Amino acid sequence: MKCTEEQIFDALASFLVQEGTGGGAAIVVAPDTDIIGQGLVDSLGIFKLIEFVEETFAVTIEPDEVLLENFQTLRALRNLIVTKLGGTGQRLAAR
Amino acid sequence: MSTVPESCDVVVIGGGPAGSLAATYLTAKGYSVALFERQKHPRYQVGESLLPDVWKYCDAAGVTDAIAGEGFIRKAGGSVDWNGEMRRLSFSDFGYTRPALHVERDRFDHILLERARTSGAWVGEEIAVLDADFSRAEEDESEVSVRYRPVGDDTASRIRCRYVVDASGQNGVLGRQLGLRVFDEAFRFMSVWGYFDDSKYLGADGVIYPARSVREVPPTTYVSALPQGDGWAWLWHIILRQTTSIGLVIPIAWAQETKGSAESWEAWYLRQCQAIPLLQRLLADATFREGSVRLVRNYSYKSKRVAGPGFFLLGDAAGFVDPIFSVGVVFSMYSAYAAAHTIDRCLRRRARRDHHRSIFSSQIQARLELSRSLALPYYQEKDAGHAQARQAMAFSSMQAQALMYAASMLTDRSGNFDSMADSPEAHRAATERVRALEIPRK
Repeated sequence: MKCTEEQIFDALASFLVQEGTGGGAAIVVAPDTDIIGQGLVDSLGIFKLIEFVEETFAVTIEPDEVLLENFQTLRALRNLIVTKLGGTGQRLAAR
Repeated sequence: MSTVPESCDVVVIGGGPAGSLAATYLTAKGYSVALFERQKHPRYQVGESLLPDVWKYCDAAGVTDAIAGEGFIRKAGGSVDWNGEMRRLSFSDFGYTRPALHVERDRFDHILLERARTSGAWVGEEIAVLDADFSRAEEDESEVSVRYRPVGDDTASRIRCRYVVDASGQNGVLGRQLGLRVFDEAFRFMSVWGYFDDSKYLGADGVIYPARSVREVPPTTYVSALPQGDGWAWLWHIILRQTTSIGLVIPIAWAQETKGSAESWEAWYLRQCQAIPLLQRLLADATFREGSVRLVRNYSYKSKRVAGPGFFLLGDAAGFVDPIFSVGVVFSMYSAYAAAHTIDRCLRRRARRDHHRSIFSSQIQARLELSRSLALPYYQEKDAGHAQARQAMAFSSMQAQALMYAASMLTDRSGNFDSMADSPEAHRAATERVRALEIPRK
């Protein structure tokens, strides 16, 4: 699947807005929002998020990759996906 | 009861919270489920203190209205007397907007089991599952055969399914069959508990209230270190609608040393209850329920594996630790959700089922290690589970971390928390929110 980093981010963000613990409440997810610490993804949400990433981008998240450094922000998760897709683009520099 | 089906997608062993919710979540995803419960509900179960986290699992199972409508006791938080310091925490101070509960587990568990039934699961009570044959599990036409026997019957029968969910609690039907259970040497504890009617209780303000006020003034769960226990032994006091559950968690060695050979466990238990001044005051006008004392030895265990070809272990069947932080029911519900999610993925993408199962296993084991590491009564050399526990901690929200830290602080276990988290924010939040209480004088 070819997709730009922006498309990856948008897909993740809209998934979180729909499925996250926010439960439809108006939440705004920026690339560096701490989605774990703020509770947008809880212990249930992590299962749904892994499924979404694997099904949407046709990648595999190994159990030992379920680390805070890969899931704390959508920037980190996007970078993980980009790496798995074979580096379709350059990693976004931190703003 | 209708006839046991010959086959289904998933067999669930056990009708406690883990089994009932797993059945409910799976039927909601369109799978056929047969749940076997050895006893007849409502049936007795200890473990009456529930954290506010149970609500999200009730929401997902569509059972929130039924639970809320039952009118269980809503509790404000915990009052903890530990080595001379009396402190309390309130869930609302940590941003929890839904109540924690004190529930009669016979009633609570029955509501969840009825939910499984109305969701479309086939539910059979008074049927014991004996074992399962996994020799053809996860072959192309995945098939597991489960042997069961109605209580009081001589003949066993079989049901075919694609997955088995073991939610059989401490019995651990599959854990025993497959040799998965490992008793935890770090917790050489036992528990002895019983029931008193008309016990007074502690409100969140540290004042002692009579049992009849429990609807007007929400109670706290009262937890106290036991004087001779070196901070390892503790008691719970959980007021319910008609009675109060009071239990002791103690090192086995200490119980053996202090119990006379001619003394019954009931006499020993009542003697310990009298030895704690504050508890004695709460029990001043209370009546002990004759014959209510129960005990469990071999207190704590985990499982070498929590999933394998054709099976998943949930709740107490997967692992159990010192219940000091009341996480047991929440863990059961969490593992039910995780198993239903994983089974769904395994059945939809069979080629990837090893992978889906490995995610389940690592998440469940990490969560168990976190519970275990938090509850450890004294400092342990970092063991194999420590890294997993750290990871589970890292994936907890700041709100959850602050609550965990506060609970750890109250019970002199903050060292456990510190070994797993680099979280000054949780420290600060917890320290601000834990309140000192004076031990009530009257």
